Amino acid sequence: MLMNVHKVLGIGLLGAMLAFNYFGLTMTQPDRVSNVPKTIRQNPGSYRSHYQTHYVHLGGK
Amino acid sequence: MLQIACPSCGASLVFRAQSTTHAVCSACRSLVVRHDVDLESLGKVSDLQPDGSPIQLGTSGTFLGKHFEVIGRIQVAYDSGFWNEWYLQYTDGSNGWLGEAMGTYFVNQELDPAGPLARPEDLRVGSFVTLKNEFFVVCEVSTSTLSSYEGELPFVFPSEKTRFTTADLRTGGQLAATLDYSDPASPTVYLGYYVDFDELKLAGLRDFNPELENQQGVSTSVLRCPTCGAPHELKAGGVSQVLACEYCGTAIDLKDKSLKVLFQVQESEKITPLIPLGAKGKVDGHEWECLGFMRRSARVEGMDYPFTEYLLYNPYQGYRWLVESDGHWTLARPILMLPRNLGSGDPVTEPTDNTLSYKGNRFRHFQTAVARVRYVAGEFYWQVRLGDEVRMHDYVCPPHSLSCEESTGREQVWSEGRYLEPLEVARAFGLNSIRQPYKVGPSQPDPYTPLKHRAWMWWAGYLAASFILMVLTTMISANKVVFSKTGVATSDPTSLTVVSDEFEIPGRTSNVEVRTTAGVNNRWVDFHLALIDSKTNEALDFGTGVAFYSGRDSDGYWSEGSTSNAVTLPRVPAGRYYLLAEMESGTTASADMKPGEAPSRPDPAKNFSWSITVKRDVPSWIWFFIGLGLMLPVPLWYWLRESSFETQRWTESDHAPTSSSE
Ligand SMILES: [Zn+2]
Ligand SMILES: [Zn+2]
Repeated sequence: MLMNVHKVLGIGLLGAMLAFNYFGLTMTQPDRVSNVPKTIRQNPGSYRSHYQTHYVHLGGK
Repeated sequence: MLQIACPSCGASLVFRAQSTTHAVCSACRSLVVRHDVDLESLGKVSDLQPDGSPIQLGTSGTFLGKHFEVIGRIQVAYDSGFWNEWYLQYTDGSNGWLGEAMGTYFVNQELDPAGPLARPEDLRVGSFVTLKNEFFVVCEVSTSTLSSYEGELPFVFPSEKTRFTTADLRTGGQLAATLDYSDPASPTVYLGYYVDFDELKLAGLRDFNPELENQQGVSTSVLRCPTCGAPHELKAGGVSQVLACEYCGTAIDLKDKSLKVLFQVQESEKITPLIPLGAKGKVDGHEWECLGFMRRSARVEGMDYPFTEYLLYNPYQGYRWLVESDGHWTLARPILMLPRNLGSGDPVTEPTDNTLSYKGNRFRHFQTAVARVRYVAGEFYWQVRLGDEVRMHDYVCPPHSLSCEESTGREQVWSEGRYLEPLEVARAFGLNSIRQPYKVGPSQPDPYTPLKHRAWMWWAGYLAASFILMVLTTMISANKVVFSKTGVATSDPTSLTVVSDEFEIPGRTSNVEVRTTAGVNNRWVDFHLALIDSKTNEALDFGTGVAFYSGRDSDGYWSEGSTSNAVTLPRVPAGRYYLLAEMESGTTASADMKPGEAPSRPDPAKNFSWSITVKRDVPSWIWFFIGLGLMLPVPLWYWLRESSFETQRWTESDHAPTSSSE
């Protein structure tokens, strides 16, 4: 029974892997923001990416 | 071939082999010796004793591709019954012997020892003898007497009452030898191989069909119990030594003409066996008859663990033991080939806790215990007694097992076993119900091992298949650069904000990879990014960052991190886009911060070059690795189950795994 789950899972995962690649799914979830100002080009400070996560930087020794 | 008339009775007598000097007339049982020109009768020989042998004069067979015919026989009596040396005439004109007793077969030939042999009184059971550069273990030294002859023979014994010593020499293979001291002045060596009945492809055997035997005037021996009068049909007449009446418990010595009572089983001890005496069943492709039933108990740490044994008999295959313990069944057969010590490769002379190798399998020691006979019923081929004790050494390699029984005479009897599923036993002997096995049997095959192997095979198959598919995906994906920009960041804050020109993302909706690089050392750079659709003014906000540290210490040069990083956005439709990037940079490493300290603060950028590259439809290996991960739990689960099954198995052994709480 569990073995069948394993087999079906394997086949399913292969299909999913192909489909995700074809349809362009990735693990990243960017924030979607509508109606950003049209003036960004002229005034770069008028919009900032909401994405402010700081990466944990591994330091040197 | 020489055909002549018997000097005693005139019946036709045939000498087929050049090597034969003697022949027994089948009509009058006179022993006739062939001299150069004439024949001489040496008088009558005694009758052959019934010994249950399936071979007869005229039986043919094959050994190592050579065809042979049985033309003569020497029947020898020893402590445990009879054995036969059948004289063989091979089609190529050569001769040899087939030693046979109770289902064991030894094809052998006389060998010139090329050196003096040990004297019989110097032979110690368990000692080594070298013959033809091979080590042989002395396994049995017995005293025998001639019982009778038939057919053609290359020699005869000086007298019928000659007592002589023989020694059985064995190895860790099928190779074996017998030392024969019937002429103490010049002992003879017979070298050969133990073979299975089926290997010899024997034809023209005795038929054990009782009806046929009755027609041939051989009556099946029926014996009445001297105590209760119950009739017992002896199944292995001539071989069986003890008969224990299943009705009244009287055990009779079959080797004694007056049927001496050996012992009496107490009524209170009486057990009704699951497989009745006389029941027939097919196991391992042969039909077996249940001759005897024995209950023994093994004493482990002061506790008695009972187990039952059924003695099975097939006149061609010999004896098997069907052993039941806690509902677990093992079919065991006596073996003459010795297991080897795994380390040295030498045949085992003294059973220990060491791992053994036998027929290519590794057997781990399971348990050593003293087993004691508690109850017997039926026929037995040895002088069984209530209270008999042996030291039993068990080794397992599921579903196989090895067992050595050491009796006080230091005689060692090895047997190999195979685990049988209870249903197999029930089906073979037509049992309506059979008890559920309790716990894990010593040689019970681990049901999770094959599942684990299969699950790992599927995992490996998945790895291969998904890798190939990913390589193909990589080959056919567009992987197209749609935008690329480089620049230099300076201490001027405006150099840290970049708005790109519009660029086209063509094709179908696909993923988009944004790769950022910064030429930094001992510094981190965060990129706050927005990919903006110039038509809809919709932004995808995301971020990434790089950090690279290096230096020199006592171990030499070290480096950590990378100057490049990428983020892949999902499902970006075709269109015109531009990119907004803000960079932040600093030197403090998070790992260097003390607990509670504020996160790494940006500090004015030292000059560094940067680049941003946007690609569409890139192969995404992340799904490949996630798939491999998701395929892990099932094999790991089976692996855990297998381990816990093995723990349960070994908990019952002398080598119980110690838990960490102890
Ligand atoms: Zn005769
Ligand atoms: Zn009786």
